[in-house]
Amino acid sequence: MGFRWALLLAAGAIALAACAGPPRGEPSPAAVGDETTQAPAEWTGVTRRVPADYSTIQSAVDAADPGDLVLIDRGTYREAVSVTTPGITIRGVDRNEVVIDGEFERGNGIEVLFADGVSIENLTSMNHTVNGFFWTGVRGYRGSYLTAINNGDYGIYAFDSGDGLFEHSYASGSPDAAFYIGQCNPCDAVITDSVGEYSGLGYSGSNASTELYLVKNTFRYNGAGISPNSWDGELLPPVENVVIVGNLIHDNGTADFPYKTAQWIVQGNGILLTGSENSIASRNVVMNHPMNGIFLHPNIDKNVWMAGDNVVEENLVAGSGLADITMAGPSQDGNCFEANEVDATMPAALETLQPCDGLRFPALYEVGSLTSLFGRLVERNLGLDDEIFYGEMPHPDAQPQMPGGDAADVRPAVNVFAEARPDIESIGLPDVPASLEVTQQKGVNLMGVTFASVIGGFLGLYAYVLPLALYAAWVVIALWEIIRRDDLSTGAGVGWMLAILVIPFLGVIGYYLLGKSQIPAAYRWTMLAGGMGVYVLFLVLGLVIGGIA
Amino acid sequence: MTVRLMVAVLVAAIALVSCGGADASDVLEGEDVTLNMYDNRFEFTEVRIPVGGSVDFYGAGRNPHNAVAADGSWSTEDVFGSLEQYEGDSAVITFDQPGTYVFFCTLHGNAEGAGMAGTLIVEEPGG
Repeated sequence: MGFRWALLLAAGAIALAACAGPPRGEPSPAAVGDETTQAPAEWTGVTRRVPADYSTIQSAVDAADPGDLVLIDRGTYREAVSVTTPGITIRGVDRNEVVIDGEFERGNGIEVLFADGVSIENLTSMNHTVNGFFWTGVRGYRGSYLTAINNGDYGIYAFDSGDGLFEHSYASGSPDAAFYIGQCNPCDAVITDSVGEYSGLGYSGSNASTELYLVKNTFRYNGAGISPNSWDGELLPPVENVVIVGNLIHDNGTADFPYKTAQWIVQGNGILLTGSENSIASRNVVMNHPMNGIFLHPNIDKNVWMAGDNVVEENLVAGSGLADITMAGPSQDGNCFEANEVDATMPAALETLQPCDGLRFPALYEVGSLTSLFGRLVERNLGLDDEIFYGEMPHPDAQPQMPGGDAADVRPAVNVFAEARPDIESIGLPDVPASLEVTQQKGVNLMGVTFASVIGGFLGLYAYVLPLALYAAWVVIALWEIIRRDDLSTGAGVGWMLAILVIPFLGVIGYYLLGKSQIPAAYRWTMLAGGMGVYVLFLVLGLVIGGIA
Repeated sequence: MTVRLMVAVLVAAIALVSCGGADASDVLEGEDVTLNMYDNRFEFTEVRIPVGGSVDFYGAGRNPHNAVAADGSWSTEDVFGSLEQYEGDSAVITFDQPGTYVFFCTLHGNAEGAGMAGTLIVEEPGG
């Protein structure tokens, strides 16, 4: 190939790479650290009561001035509330008996659109087709003692926002995630003392980075536990600087859960660091996952987002079907693992080879575990999964009331993070309930390929294990033939041996094609092109059906 | 510069222009255009088409989206049958009358233009 043609290809590649960036648009200033707020710091002293003063929550919200309290009495409110007034507090008098019911017809229970400093407290939102509680484009948000049940996208959701807190809240039955914080850097946000269950993910955070803390939560019975992730579909990738400490994450992927495609793919994992950088997973208890307890892996989107410089330390991980900690690649370097209580890692001896202190192998990873994700994607695209309606997920028992109830202090959500930022060093391993035992047994795997998904196992075998086995056979047969050949000088034989051993794939292929091998041509071609051709065909089919190619 | 070198430069230039860079305008113009609905924003905040032109409101995010005129004159629901378009769902609307419309996603914006919202301008030829 001439230089200029190479230049042509390079130019095209560069141009395509430029196309592969995140979609156009700018995040809101609130999501990138602008601390300007429209919200007053203090309550006005005005309380607007529903239904005593206003028949609907929406009418009370519309009448409210910045800094007012909207206080909702017991009852079921069949409405979808939209908030554009900054600094108001929306409070239920009883967390379990003040219910906004979307009846699977209305989109969001309460949405807060570009209104800074709105607090929502002590009530339930359920059966909405999109979100239970939703803030977007705001500086300052607080969700306290909220319950979100069976909402069609997210339970409790903050997007393109900064300076927030979700605390003492519960969310279940959301196909995407029970809790979600997305598209912010720095997020200046905390999720704490909350429970996410029976959802696609307990927590998802696409491109939600820096000063973001997930501490002292429980994520259980979801498709997968939690997943900070880098994704091209939203602004501000990659995800970085997320702190995950003191959480109890168990039995995800073991019960029925509603899901979308991404959640179906990653089911059975506890903590996923998906293309994450510089994040910390420390002092978490992670138990009973059919796949991996803690799983670091790349996200292949328009760009390939690789995990790098993450710290995984002092976690207790048990009952993992594949491995307690898995480092899947390709990855960046700098990921480290130390002082975790585990039975098995992939690759093996991860803590020895990738410690947080001392010499470290650069970018040590395996790739076999990715075949299960690949297989799930193919399954989903072929319609082989059994979709579950989010409205059928179980309802929780009554949830704890907010201390102080309707008489609690009224505080607009201003400078929330400064007050809520946790002292990480003071947080230890969470208590493990006596009823929680290791029930997940280690499953069968072959070089990281599992058979939990039939198609994943099939693809793993044909597109990963067998090609490597075939390659090994090529090498052995070639070396054996060279040793037995009389027509080769010792020097030529050693030369070919070195080429075969040192140059992966091409060395041995070169020998069969150019080394005057005495194996009949028909056998050589069958061995080279026939076997590998079939495997490549399987791989290509998988990529096409999976929608990757 | 040889022919091949010029072709190389041309290919790169065409590819860059066609894919749109970060510095491109926020205006989408054309006769029949596709407007991606990402999470949670429209790819362009201003769309200009001639009378008789069409807009394909295309689901390009993980979350459901729609596009509804603030004055209530049109909605993707009219052609798609639902206010929830997921990834890959398409709703093509043809506009036969000139006008300026604020539109928004009812799930992630509002009629005042807050959140996921934009403006559609349907122009008379030469307008």
